[in-house]
Amino acid sequence: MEITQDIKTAFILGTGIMLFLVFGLLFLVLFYQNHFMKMKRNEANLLLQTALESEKRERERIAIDLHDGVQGDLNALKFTLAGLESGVVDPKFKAHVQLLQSTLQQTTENVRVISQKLMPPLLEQKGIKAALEVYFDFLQSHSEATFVLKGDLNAFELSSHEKYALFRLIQELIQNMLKHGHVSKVELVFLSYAKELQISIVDDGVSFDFFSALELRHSGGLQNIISRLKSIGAVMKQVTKDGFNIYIIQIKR
Amino acid sequence: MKILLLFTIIYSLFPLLFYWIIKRNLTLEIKPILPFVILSFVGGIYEFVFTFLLRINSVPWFYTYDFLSFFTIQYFFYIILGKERKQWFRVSSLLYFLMFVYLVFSHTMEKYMNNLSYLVSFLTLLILIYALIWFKRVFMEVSLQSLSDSPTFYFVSGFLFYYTGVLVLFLFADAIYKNERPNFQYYWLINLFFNIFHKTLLILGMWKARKEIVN
Repeated sequence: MEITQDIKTAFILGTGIMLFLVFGLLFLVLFYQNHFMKMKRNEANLLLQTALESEKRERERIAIDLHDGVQGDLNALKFTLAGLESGVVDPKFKAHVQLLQSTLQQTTENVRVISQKLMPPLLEQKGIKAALEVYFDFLQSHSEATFVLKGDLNAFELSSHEKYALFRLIQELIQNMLKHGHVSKVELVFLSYAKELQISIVDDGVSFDFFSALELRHSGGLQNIISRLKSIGAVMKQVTKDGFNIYIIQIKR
Repeated sequence: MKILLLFTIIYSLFPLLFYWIIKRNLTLEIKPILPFVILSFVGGIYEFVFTFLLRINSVPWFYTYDFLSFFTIQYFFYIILGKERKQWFRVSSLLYFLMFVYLVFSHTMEKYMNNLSYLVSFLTLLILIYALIWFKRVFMEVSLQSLSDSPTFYFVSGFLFYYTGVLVLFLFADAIYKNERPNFQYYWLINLFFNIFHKTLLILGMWKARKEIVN
């Protein structure tokens, strides 16, 4: 009888201890891995932010160089040619100078556009809405699509990094819409709440599943959008409704 | 008790059936566990037909099952540990093989329970070592996948739970059988319980091994 009781006790105790150890081991492993993953994620985010910040700084530098250096030189050339043209009598030579002037004018304009594309000056000075308005005006005049910008950021404040990242990812999305979606209308709406900013972008182009394309094609452009979203802690979801592609970007405070 | 035993036997067929249903959507992470899943299926069929229905002596089968399960588990860990430590696997397989041959040749019904406990203890010890090495590897790798999403984690946990859960039962089986024979079947319930739990973790691991289908 006593032996039976001893066996029972040892059996229950032994099995209990073994299971406790395994549970403990698995719990520790899961807990530690979770903690470890968080650390690695933070590290990856920090690297991403540094990379994006360096890219931004480099774009800024090139934009300034183009604006102050190349554009300045081109303007000087323009004035020199204007002076030269007034002194030319030979009509054939005059026509050559005028051709040079118009080419130079076009080049100056191109440099200005490139410089603005690299770093929209309004973004820092007047904010994302103003920069997008200028960008939409530019697109409107260079494509057949209509671009509408609605809503306001109101009191929702964006940091310099957030403004830049949002501008770039909206730019990338719209470029894709124009290039692949054959859109005729794009509407961007800002909806701001006390602790959340929502930006919805609706297009009437070809039906496009952003996340499937991202998974299947590993496209650099789409990946950039995700990286920029991550870098500002924003999330994006996509809805396809009545033939419209709707992208909703949310930033929370 | 009989119904529970039947349920456990039938349930051991489920992992392979589940594999057949979803195999098109499975990732390669399933491969290392497949031999063990097939063995469970074959074991389930054998036990249902020969042990449960025809009541044929199951001792030779238990030895065979233990032998095969050892090598399928060795294969599983060999693959998930990146085919490293070949020497370790060779030595442990050789040791097990020698022990197995010795125990089979010295088999008597008196020693049967003890023989099984030696085999299970050796395997449990190996599983613990392999599991610890695997956990260490997971932390060394620069992977951002959570362990709770990893099919291999479920397979490893399944082995850990089953073998540590039944180890004491096997170690005490001889003593229980000799001193408490009428109650032996109640002690054996723990084996059935951990068997069901193990198979559930196998199915869960397979479920986690499905390729992600993008909407």
